[in-house]
Order: sequence, then structure tokens, then C-alpha cells
Amino acid sequence: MLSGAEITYVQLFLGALLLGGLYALVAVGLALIFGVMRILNIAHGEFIILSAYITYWLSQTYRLDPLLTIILTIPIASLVGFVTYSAVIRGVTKSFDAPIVSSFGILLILQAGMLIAWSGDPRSIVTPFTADSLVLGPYLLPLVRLIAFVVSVLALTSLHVFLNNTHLGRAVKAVSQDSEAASTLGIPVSRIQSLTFALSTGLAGLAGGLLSLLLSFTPTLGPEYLLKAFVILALSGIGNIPALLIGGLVLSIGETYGSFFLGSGLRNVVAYIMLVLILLLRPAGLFGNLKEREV
Amino acid sequence: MLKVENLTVEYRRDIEILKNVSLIVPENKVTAVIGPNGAGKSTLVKAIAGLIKPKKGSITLDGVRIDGTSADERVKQGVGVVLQRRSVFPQMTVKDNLILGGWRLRGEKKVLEEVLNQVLEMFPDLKQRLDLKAGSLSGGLQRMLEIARAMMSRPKILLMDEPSAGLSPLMVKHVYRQIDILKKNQLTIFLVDQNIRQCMEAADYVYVLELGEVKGGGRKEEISGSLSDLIKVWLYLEQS
Amino acid sequence: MRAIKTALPILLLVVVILLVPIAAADNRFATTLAFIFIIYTTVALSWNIIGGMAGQLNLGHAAFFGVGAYIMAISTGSGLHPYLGVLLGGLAALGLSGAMVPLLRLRGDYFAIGTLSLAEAIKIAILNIHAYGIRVTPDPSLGRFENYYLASAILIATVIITYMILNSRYKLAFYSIRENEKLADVSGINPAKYKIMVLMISAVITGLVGGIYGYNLLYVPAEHVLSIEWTIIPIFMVLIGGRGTLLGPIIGALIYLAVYYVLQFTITETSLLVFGIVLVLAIKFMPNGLVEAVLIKSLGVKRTSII
Repeated sequence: MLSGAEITYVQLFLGALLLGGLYALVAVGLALIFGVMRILNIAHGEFIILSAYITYWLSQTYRLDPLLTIILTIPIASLVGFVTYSAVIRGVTKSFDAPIVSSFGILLILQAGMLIAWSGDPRSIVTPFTADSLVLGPYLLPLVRLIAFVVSVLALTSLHVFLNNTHLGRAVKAVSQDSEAASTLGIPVSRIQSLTFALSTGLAGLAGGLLSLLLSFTPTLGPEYLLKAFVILALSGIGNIPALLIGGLVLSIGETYGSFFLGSGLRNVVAYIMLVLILLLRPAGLFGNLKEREV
Repeated sequence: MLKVENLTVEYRRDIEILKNVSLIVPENKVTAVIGPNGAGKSTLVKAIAGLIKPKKGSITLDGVRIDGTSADERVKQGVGVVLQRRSVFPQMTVKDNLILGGWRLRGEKKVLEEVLNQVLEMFPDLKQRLDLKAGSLSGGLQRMLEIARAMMSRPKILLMDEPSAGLSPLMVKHVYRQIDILKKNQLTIFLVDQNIRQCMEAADYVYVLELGEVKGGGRKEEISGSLSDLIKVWLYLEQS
Repeated sequence: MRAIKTALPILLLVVVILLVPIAAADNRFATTLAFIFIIYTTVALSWNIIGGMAGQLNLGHAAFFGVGAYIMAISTGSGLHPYLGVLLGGLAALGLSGAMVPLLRLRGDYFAIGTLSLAEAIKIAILNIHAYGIRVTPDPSLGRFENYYLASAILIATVIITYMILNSRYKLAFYSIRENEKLADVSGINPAKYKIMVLMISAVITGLVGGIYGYNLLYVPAEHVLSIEWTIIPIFMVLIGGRGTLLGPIIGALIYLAVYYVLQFTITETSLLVFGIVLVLAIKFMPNGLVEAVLIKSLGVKRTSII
């Protein structure tokens, strides 16, 4: 028979496990854009939070079932991403880090936009099943977390299949590995890049939608999720979806136990500490040969 | 048949890498461009492939102008290219690399399969290694893969930028043997290389490019004589 | 000739700045405005050193400012002389830059995220300790007048440091690091050394400014001094004016102040929105800043060199 403390630890573990799937989904969008275009979309967190707000707003205004609204949010987020990329990020000079500065500007615009539209008060979505849990022996699996986990894993699996088993997906991989060579095979690199950006924000849309069920959010939450995505990328590299899942789990477990022992205010610090540790322990760089600019 | 007329390519607004280059690449033959380092050979290939925009001039393939289109559009127009540098997709298998070469045919599953089989017949070494990651192949085999992959789009003309670059002499022979096979299959090939001997052996027509200008060209047999003098000059320059 | 072209307006500006409190003795508004200008310009110039010249996009700049203010507040609260507190604030920021050093190993984009995250983490940590900010007891002998001149001194020092770097052998080193770090590395320049150097210089200056700002305000609220606006606004100023130049950030600061004035001196969500939009437009149409855009238009200067 497990003691009370042991049960708590396992309970925490299970909760973290479920959250890890969502975290991996949060990270994959960032990985896609970086892998294909070598751009670090600093506004990635903002797209996620914006999607949470969109889900919130749609379900409130039209009294829709939140799960249904999430499905609606995905194409909306994709469209916003596509427009953003085409209008702002694509045409920008490659000098220094102009695309990053651009995405920083987008971060400001989105964050400010959300603050204006919805103010800084925390919002959340409450559903009939928000408080429900699946009971597994002495453990509780919160239903919303379970849903988030299952949906995330499904999405990630679909993405994996897409990238490896379809022509378009393979083309995306090709562009990420050698865009010039890809163009010589007839692959429309620029269109693929736009598609990838839209795909990435669509995935962010899904993540944000799921997130809106799980916790209360404010417009300034973006950078926090950017950090999470970044740490996971640092752990897992960008080429490998199963690795992202593991990375998501590791982060989630670290955060859960970390905040349990150190206090919930320090959750983000845990993520940052993990980042620094990774940097110190893997001096060869985070993503190996992708770290450096080519000569 | 490829026609290049008065092609001028600039680098950074001041430096002309190619100056009024004109040449003709006859159908079903191998046309080679030789020249010393820095002559602009790679630039020429890239311009024809659509990777570099020329300042002026025109490029016509079978009567259709192809300059002005992007590199990926040019594939539709019948251009295939093998770059000088390593350009396989390293994390993908040999098979996936080839399938990507057939991007143009992606909507037609049966045709794609047929072409894949045909190409694999021409490159048996690759047939044996379909599931290996392209990045793990030796330099020579990667070069083979690049050629095979370019063939997947059934190009009207195959451009090759220094196919022997970075390869051991044995591998160079191997690659040129492959080019021979392609030649026998009546493919139009446009080839630039610094390896003059192999290049000239394979060629039917030869052009000489020096400092961005065409210094002469014609059937290999006709210009062989004057070429050997020219080559002696280059070799001397390179040795000094 | 070019040096004189740059030096003259700056000297003029410095003289004007130094004269403001004396000339406008009764006009608190003018002095306050000038003080804010000094603060912002210095923070912009200090970001310019790491972000403009060395090309490392430090998005955690606000942390230097906030920590400087914070440590100043704590040390002054413990009885130390306020200006000593300011100095300690600068040193604390220097220490913080030490924590950022591991991030320098990262490529520009990762560095950006890493610094952004660090600043966030620090802000949250400090908010957890001091949610409501610290009040600073003023030293009666050190009023706005003295603060103004201390700030001016820091600004002048920063201008001199910037000028020196731009006219030293280091300048090419930084530019080569900015343009192509790997190439710089194999050319014999040690990027790490230079990056650390500018990060630290940038940190100290910003920490000092944070300190004097906090002291002048007599109140250090964590949410404000660590707010991302102390990163965004300097970046905005530098990008608008022109990265990596001396005149650029100063002009950017003047422009910013004009906008600030029009927006009635408050940083609200709307102004953040405006900044975001301007940033996006600026980087798209004037990637090298106003100074260069103007230079090219008026003097027909072609960008033939990286200098």
C-alpha cells in the first residue's frame, strides 16, 4: 500500500505527464518555423495566447461548446499567421536579425491588441466538465488535462505522418534541410514557407484553445510559453517529433515537482534554470549544426 | 536546345561575373564549358538554373524563354541541375530523396513509380541502398544520388556544376561513367568542370570561359588544337 | 570631416542638456522632460552597444535597469549614501550580466529568447518578494538638481564610450561579429571575449541609469522598473535612429520623446500597439534606421562599406 506522500508524488507525475503532451504541442509550432525558415518566431507565445482568447471569445459570444470552438480557432489562427508572415516577416531584409525584430514587433502588436480588447483581467473558460476527473485507483486524472493530452498526441502524430508520408510533408522537410536544392527540384520554397508558418500558427491555435480550458490566462502570458517552447526545443532538437514529446514531459515534470517544492511563483524560474543547465552541459550548442550561421 | 544570348551577371552592382556570354547547347549532346578558376562557370550554371538573376541577356530552351522564372518554375520548363556542393537531403533516405526529385510527378502515382524504377535501373548502386540515410553515403554515392534525383523530373536538359568536385579520382571516373550512360540515353547535358581531361573526353562541344567571357567554342574535334595551347597557359598560371 | 559632422551636434546637445536646469530654473516640466530624455537616451545608447554594434539582440535589457534600481533602493534603504546605492545598482547589473554570459554562446535568435526569458524570470522572482515596490528615503542634500547632473554625467560617459568604440580598432571586430560570427571567429577575432565585454559595459551603464532613475522617483515598483518597456523603448529608439551609430540612438530618443509627448506621457496598451506597428514598419522599410535612410537620400551616400 502506498503512503500518502508516495501517492502525492505519483499523482503529480500523472498530472505532469498529461500536461507534457500539451507542452510538446506548444513547442512544435516554434520548431517548424525554425526548422524550415531559420526564423525564431518570438511572437509564438502570443499566437498561443491569442488563440486562447479567440476560443474564449467565440464560445462566450456564440454560446458554443468550447471543444467545438477550438476546432474553429485553428483555421483562424492559421489565417492570422499567414497574413502576418506575408505582410510583415517575409519581405524583411535578412540583415542581422531583421525577421526576429519583426516578430518582436508582432509580439507587441498582439499583446497590446489583446490588452486593449480584453483588458488585463484573467480569463478562463469553464465547462460542465472542468472539474471532472477520471478516477484511476487512488489517482485522479483531470478530464481537461486528459483531453488536452489526447488531442495533443493525436495532433503530433498526424503531423509526423504528414511530414514523413506525404509529398507535401516531405517537401517541407526538404526545404528545412536544403532550401536551394529543394528549389532545383521544382519545390516552390517560398510557398512552402508561407504554408509552414500558417501550419505553425494553426498548431499554436490548437494549443491555445486547449490551454484555455486548463487555466486562466492574461494577455501577458505569451513570453512564458515562448520560454517553455524554447526550453523543449533546447532539450529535444527540432527534427524529431517523438523527441519533442519527451522534452515536453521533462519540462512539465520539472516544473511540477519544482513548483511543488519551491513554490508556484518560481515555476518559470525552473524553466530558465533548465535552459541554463542545458547550455552549460551541452557546450557543443543546442541544435548542433544548426546553431551557427553558415560561413 | 538551349540558347544563351548576351548573358550578363553582376555581383553587387559593380562587378560583372559574366559579360555578354552567348552559347548554344545542342540537343542530345554533351556541351562542356571549361575555364580557369574564377571564370564564372558556376555562375553560368546557376543563372541557367534560375538560382541567380542575370542583369541582362536571355536564356531560351526549345524556343521558350526561361530567364525570368524562378528556379522551381524552371524545373517545369525542363531544366534539371546538379549543384557543385553536396545537396542531398541528409536526414532523408535515398528513396525519399529520389521521390522528392519526382516532385513534378507527385500527382501521378503510377508514373512516379515507373520513373523511379527506370532511374534505379540506371543507378544500381542506389537501388541497393534505398533505405539508408542520404547523409551517410560516401561522397561519390551522394553525387550519384544527386544526379539520379535530378533525373527524376525527366528534364530536357541536365546542368552539372563541377560534378567531379571534391571527389577522389576513382569516384570521378565513376561519375563520368554515369554521365556516359546518360549521354547514351540521348540526354542533353550541359557541364562545367575544372577537371579538363575527363570533361573533354565526355564532351561533344566545348566552350572556353575566361574571366566571364566566352573565348571560343565549337565541336570538340575542331578546336582541340587551339585548346591545348590555352590549357597549357592555364596550367602554367595555376602552377605559378 | 565625418567625425566633426557627428561630434558637433552632439556637443551642442550636451551643452544644451547641461544648461537646461539652470536656464529653466522655475520650469520643473522642462527639467523633468530633459531628465527623461537623458535616461532614455542613455539606456538606448547602452543597448546600442550590445545590440547595435555587436548585433546581439538582447531582449532582457530591462533586467539590468530594474535590478539597478532595485539594488539602489535596497542599499539606500539600509542607510548607504544614495549615489553609492546607484553605484551598487550598476555593479549588481554587472553581476547579472555574468548570468547572461552562458547565453552568449547562442546564436542571435536563441540569445534573444534566452535573454527575454531571463528577464521575465527575474521579474517574477522579484515580484514574489516585493509585490508593491520599495520606497526610497531621499537624502536632503541630493535633490532633483543633483540627480540631473549625475544622470548627465552617465550620459556623457556613455557617449564618450560609444564614440571611443566606434573609433577604435574594436569597431571592425564588432561589425565582423555582427555580420558573420563564425567567419570572425576563424579570422582570429575571439567573439566571446568581445561579446562579454560589450554585454558588461551595456549592463553597468543601464544599471547605473536604473539606479539614478529610481532614486529620482523615490519609489521603485518592481512591475515598472522591470517592465519590458525598458527593453522595447530603447530598441525602438535604436532601430528608428540607426543601429550601431552614435547619432542614431540619440535621434531615435528625440523621436520617441516626441511620440511620448503626443501620447500624453503614459505607456498604455495603445502606445505599445503603436510602437509595435512602428517597429514592424521601420524594420521593413528602413532596416538601417532613419539616420541612414536620410544619409542615403540627402547625400547620395551609397552603402559601399559596412562602416
